[in-house]
Amino acid sequence: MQQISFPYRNAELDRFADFRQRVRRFLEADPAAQEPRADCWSQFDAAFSRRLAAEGFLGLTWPRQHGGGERSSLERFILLEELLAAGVPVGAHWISERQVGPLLLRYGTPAQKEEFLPRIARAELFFCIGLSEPDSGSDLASLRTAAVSTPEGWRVRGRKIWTSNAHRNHYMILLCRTEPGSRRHAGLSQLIVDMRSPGLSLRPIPNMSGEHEFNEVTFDDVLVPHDRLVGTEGNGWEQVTSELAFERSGPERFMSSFILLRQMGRLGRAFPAEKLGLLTARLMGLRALSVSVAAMLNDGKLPNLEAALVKELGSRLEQDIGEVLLDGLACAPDPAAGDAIDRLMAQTLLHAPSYSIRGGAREILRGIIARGLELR
Amino acid sequence: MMIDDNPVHASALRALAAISSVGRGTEALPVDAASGLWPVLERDGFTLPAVPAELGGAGGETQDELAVIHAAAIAAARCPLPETAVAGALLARAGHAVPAGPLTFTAEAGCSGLVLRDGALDGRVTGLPWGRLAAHALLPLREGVAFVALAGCTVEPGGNLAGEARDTVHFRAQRPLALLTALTADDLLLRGALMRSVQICGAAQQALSLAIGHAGTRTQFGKPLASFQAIQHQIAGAASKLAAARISVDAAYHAVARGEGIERDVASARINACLAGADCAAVAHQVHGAMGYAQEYDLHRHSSAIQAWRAEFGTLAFWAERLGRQAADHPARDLWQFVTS
Repeated sequence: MQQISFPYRNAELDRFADFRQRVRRFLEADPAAQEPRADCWSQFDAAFSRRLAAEGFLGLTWPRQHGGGERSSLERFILLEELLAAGVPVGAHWISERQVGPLLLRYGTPAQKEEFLPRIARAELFFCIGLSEPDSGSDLASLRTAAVSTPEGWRVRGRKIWTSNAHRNHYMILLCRTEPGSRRHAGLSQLIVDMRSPGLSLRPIPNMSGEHEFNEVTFDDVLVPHDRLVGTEGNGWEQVTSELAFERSGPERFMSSFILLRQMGRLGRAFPAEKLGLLTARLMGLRALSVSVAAMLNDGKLPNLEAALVKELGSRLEQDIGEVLLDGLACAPDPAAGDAIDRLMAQTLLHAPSYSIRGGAREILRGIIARGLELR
Repeated sequence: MMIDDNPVHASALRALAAISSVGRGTEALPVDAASGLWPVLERDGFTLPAVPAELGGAGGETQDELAVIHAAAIAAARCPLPETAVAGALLARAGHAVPAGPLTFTAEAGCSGLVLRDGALDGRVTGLPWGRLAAHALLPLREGVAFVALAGCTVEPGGNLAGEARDTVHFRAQRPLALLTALTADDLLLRGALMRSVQICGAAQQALSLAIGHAGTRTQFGKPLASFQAIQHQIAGAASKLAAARISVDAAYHAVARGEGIERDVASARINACLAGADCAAVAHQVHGAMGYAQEYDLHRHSSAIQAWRAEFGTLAFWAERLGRQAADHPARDLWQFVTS
């Protein structure tokens, strides 16, 4: 049997204990931690992101010349897990810091790096990611939004959907077809699109919790300058998939509901010890896997398979926390409740269905794992 | 470095090939004194991998013990190798020299069937792993952990689902060789639960491996089973749980080596191993169809061992409750500090 290997231990984090204490001290003093939220990385709060940036907490691993801190991926892991454990609203910068920064560092032109990276690290610029389309969800390679090269720039026509925070972001990393008639993974490219461009329009799509996070984004002959192409023309698919390990293995893939469990304990709510123990063990197992992937990333490896496994297992835990607590904890879930647990429970239950869909549906991840096991 | 990357794992697998029950039909394999197999394992250092050389062992790392126990489960070697490795490490921790020959231990706190009177043991211990083969045992009496020789005891044979000996051993005026106050019943329980968790990981890996092999070669509806998503997804889900179990037993062994966080990490390992074992066994059987149910096929060696080991040294429910209480009683009353400490 093909082994899926996780060669590093939690002990990799031990040498950064001081950094963890520094993050904890920051969080203890910050007002955002007073009102923790479930699925906090979907919560947009630009002011909080700027307070993090002022501490040097955005772009922690990036080179100093681009506004980064040149710290290790393991310190970044500690930062992320502490933020998520505190339930603070990190959604404004999350995607920009997690995916756009590494993408530009790897594939961006010197001018793009200079223009965008320091401002992302200062939480001045927020990006969204344009991937799904009305007819292309899990089958992303069937996407049809197309950019045609003209003397003045790329002309984009098409539609993206489920685009988180498009109405609050400054730019989009758009995956589109730049080679007319190309099929599947070929002929795709990534463009940086200014969200204020003429011809770009938004339609809000409130989610089931009533929040406006999603949008449909329509491109009607939107002009994108040539110098906004990221990386190589036609290489978009490879560029997108090179970030998957960063996107799928982090603590946000199993900690979205953790704050509910944590606050339940802090507030001394009665809950069966056996159920708490089961969830705690699963959390510990996942955390160890996720740390191991962070250490592999720190080594410059691209553990896409291992990351898919973390997300597959992690979304199940995130969803089960809501389910198990709903069945075992006396509460009345209500987003507007005065009681903190009632509120957190409502947030958890109303967000949980998305956990096994966003960033790669469970079925897609299982397919990746099956391929890793040489089943397909 | 993880379990199978340890060179000890590969060498243990080679050494255990002679006593593996895999591919042997319904034959039981004798690892008794007459077979001469044990002294070979002993000579090559596989019986006491993590016991210091000056106390009679191979002088390896704690993780070598994990590797040997895992390899024994993969080989479905039905012998007291895991029990010997763990009991030996416990004896060594108590500063006691470790004798040659198979060792065993039980974790039944207090050993209710035994009485220590005037320095001699009377009564019986039930469900003692490999009681009929072991030369010595650790027994957690109320007075401390007794180190006893089993020669001269009467044995009533019993077994578990995997056909491993779980015997009732009768003592009559038997003097323990030592009463080890450095060890507690809980030490035996923790190490026993971790040992069975490692074994479950090994057996689960073999069960899944057989399922993957079968799915690749068995054709139905004109294509291999492996090409059906319904099959792929079941195996992928089980393999994910197994990855969590493997890293958890590794973490618990690391805690044993450091002497820190053992209670928490063993409970987590035990729970993750039971969850993974249950899923891997069920999925492997489902993928195999009727064939997996046949005695002549090897799957049951692994699946019934998983079920047997889930029932020994505390169930999933026992360890989950224990971990939950530990988390709730953590001084900071904070699950996050409990998990990250």
